[in-house]
Amino acid sequence: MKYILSVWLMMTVLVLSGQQDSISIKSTIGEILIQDAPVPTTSLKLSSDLTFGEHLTRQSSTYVRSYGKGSLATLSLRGGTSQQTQLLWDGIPIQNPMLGLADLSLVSSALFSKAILHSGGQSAQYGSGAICGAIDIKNMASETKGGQAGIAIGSFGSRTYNLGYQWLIKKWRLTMNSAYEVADNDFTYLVGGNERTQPNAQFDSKGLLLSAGYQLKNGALKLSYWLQDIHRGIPPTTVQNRSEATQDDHTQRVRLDLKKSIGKGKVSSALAYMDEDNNYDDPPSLIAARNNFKRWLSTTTVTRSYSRTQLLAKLDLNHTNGNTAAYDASQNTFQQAALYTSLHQDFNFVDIKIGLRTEWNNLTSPPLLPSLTINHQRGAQSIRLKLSKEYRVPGLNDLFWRPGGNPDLRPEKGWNQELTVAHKSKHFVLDATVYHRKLEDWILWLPSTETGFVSAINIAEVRSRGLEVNSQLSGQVDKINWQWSTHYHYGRSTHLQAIPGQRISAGDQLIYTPQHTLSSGWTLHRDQFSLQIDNRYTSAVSGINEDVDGYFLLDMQLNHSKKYKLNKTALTGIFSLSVNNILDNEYRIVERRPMPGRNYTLSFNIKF
Amino acid sequence: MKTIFTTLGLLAFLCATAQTTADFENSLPTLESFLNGSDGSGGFSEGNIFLPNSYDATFDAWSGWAISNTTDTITGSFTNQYSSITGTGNDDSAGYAVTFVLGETLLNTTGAAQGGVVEGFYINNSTYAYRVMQDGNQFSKKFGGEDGTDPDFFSVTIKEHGDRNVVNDSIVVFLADYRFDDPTEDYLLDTWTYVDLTRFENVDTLSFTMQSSDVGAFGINTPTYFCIDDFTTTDMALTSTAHIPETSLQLYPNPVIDRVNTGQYNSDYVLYNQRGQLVQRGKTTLAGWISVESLQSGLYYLKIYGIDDQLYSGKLIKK
Repeated sequence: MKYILSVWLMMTVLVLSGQQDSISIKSTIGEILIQDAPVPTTSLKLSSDLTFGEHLTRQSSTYVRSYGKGSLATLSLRGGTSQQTQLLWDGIPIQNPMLGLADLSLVSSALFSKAILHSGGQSAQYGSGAICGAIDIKNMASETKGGQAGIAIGSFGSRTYNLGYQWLIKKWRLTMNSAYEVADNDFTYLVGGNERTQPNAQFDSKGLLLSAGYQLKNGALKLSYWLQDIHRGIPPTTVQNRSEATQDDHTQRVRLDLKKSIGKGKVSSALAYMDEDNNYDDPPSLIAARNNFKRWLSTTTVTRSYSRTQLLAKLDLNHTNGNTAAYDASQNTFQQAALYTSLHQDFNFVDIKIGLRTEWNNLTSPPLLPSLTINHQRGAQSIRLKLSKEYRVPGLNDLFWRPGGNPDLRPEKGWNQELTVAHKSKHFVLDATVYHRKLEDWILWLPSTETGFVSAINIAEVRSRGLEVNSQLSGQVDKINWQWSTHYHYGRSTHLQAIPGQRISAGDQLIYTPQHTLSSGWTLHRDQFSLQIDNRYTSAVSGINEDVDGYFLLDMQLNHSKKYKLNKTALTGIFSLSVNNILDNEYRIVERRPMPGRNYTLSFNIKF
Repeated sequence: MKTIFTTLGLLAFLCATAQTTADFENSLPTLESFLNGSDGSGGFSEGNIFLPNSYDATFDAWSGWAISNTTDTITGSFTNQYSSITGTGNDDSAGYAVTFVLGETLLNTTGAAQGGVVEGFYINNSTYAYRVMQDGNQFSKKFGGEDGTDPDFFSVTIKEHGDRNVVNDSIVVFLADYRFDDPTEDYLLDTWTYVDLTRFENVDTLSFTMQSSDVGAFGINTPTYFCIDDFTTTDMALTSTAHIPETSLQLYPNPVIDRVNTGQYNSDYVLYNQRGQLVQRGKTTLAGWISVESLQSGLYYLKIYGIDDQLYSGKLIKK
């Protein structure tokens, strides 16, 4: 841990002492200073009315494996597992290093304003776990002081409150965002013609995001603190009589960011500390599991731009301690140092980016990760080719969990190829990507007669290939502004060999990996009214025990905004009525986990 | 006269049917305790049977057999691995044996019972498996499924391994059966039930494997545990297959690195590890060699059924 602090402080001192007269940069607080090479990205607008997972499924072709509102939600992008897409908080990875995945339900969407979805292999830039892509959540700063407050009441005892404010005081920018959500979540569902009410599915979630930014000469310094607390019941499955299990997650994250422009160069550096508890209790089963990790992360990026060339170097440091009774105290630490360098050259007809990541860690031998991106743009059209090596370091549980953890595991690794064609004009945006990826040393937990228990082993090879299409069409008819967006993904992710002793044959699609996902949304806007209609289709998937049927969902939201004045203060109030699952379809995303039928939310938000 | 009495006595001895019952009553000094092999013994000798156990000290994990007298009949989770659903052994006794079957659990007859008839034993569900089948959990289904009509089952297949490790016969015992036309007949076994094995006439080893209707992509979801008690063997079998006396093998080299000569040519052999698990079987070469290259270092027990129908055995140390 010491070396992370030392390196970060050293770089900070170097940056601060190296201030020179240089180009001015616009509002560096809360913005990305250093942009990466052109990659297909989808920008998602976040708000308090939906969960983070719901935003993802409605605004992209991402498949979110949700166990229900307030419950565990993990994502699958481009036919990968939930451990193969990285979740970032403004460039800092926030996946649980013990599980190696991110639980999307631990992100209050009210705290953030947008998420950037980078599809496709990103391991070279973002490191382990970004095999299929990365999702970066951000809270974009506005240029004015003010705030917003909201309340929502919905079906199944759902109540949501959020409050946020931004203060601008000379060179300081102080922001506060908070959210509180509680729900009984006791919806009814049908099993064999009988109606049942879901028990023990209540949850309450608290989120707080504070930041203090200070404008430097040609740069900014920002301190942020993110608290997320969620208590939830674990409802029984449809083949379980009862459940009294509960889960408590308590996460605290703090980070210090420094961004500076120095001559033709830019520096962006962040130091983060995370302390996260995950506690599971099941009193009838006498289970009380306590899991905690503490993590120091530092990332520093330096870019230097010339007329047509950009050089970039990025140093990532990571020191993680996992703590659980299932680990040996002498084997619970992950340390990592990684250097990513890239050269981005803009020729007249094409721009090329070459990247290379080299990494050292104390547990595995990560491969060298080269990447090559070739982009050609002609008017509104562009074509892009990317080749990259991808990898994922095993999670701490994979390595150290007793019994079954395997310290000799190798990282999952393989090559990714993708080709994107895109068109972008004022009223029509389209991108279509075909991709192919082959990964080896895929990690599975399987019963082992050698060890006598279920153990983690590198056993599988998986080939993924597919097509991803995003489009957006917009226009105006009379006084109605309209927009239609569609996101489609077709993917085959198949085992290349049968798994010995298991019910997995060569050619089988990975479990919980749909071949088709389609989301489509209409937005109609006239004067103070707007109407949003979303529909989603997810094809059938195979689960661990049984197949899960495909499903179609139709949702609608009607908004009405009105301006008020209160003591010379301008206020904007927005009333919203949401109807979800309008067709009242019975569906499940995860086997044995019912989802709610038609449900309603009424909300009022005010901006001041 | 003395010769006559001696002969009659010998005949009487040969014709007598002595039985030994492993009741697991004396292994545990205190109540609410269990032996799971953490002492590194590799198994438990009770009566004339040996119950192999595999214990990993690194992970504090076990499979094979454990001996228990724990009494928790409520807790249906892995925190309660050692209890029977009655909280007792057969006939309200305290001790019993419980197995966690990972692939296959073995049980060897020993001493006077080796190669003879096994009378039978009592079987029951473990609390863990029973409660999971009754109520389900986050990973396993309650039997009957969502609407109670799924034709679920949970069973043990017991196979007889006799001379030359040939599987002679097998018996299937249902610990739960929900496949009846009349649902009131569906049951989860919750009493000690006798399993008659007398049709197994020539038992060196019994193997136990488990089957369940609740199977996922990665194997059986139902916890593969069950309990046994009062395991009775016939020491001096009066069946057609008499116990074959063993003769010591002369093995060389021993310790061995890659192959060992047994002096027995073109003969069936079986090789067990210290835990009693079968690790290799085959035929010796025409010159009497066995390749042991793939074995890990350790002590092994070798049995050879010679072409003269004699049973040979010996200890082998693999370097």
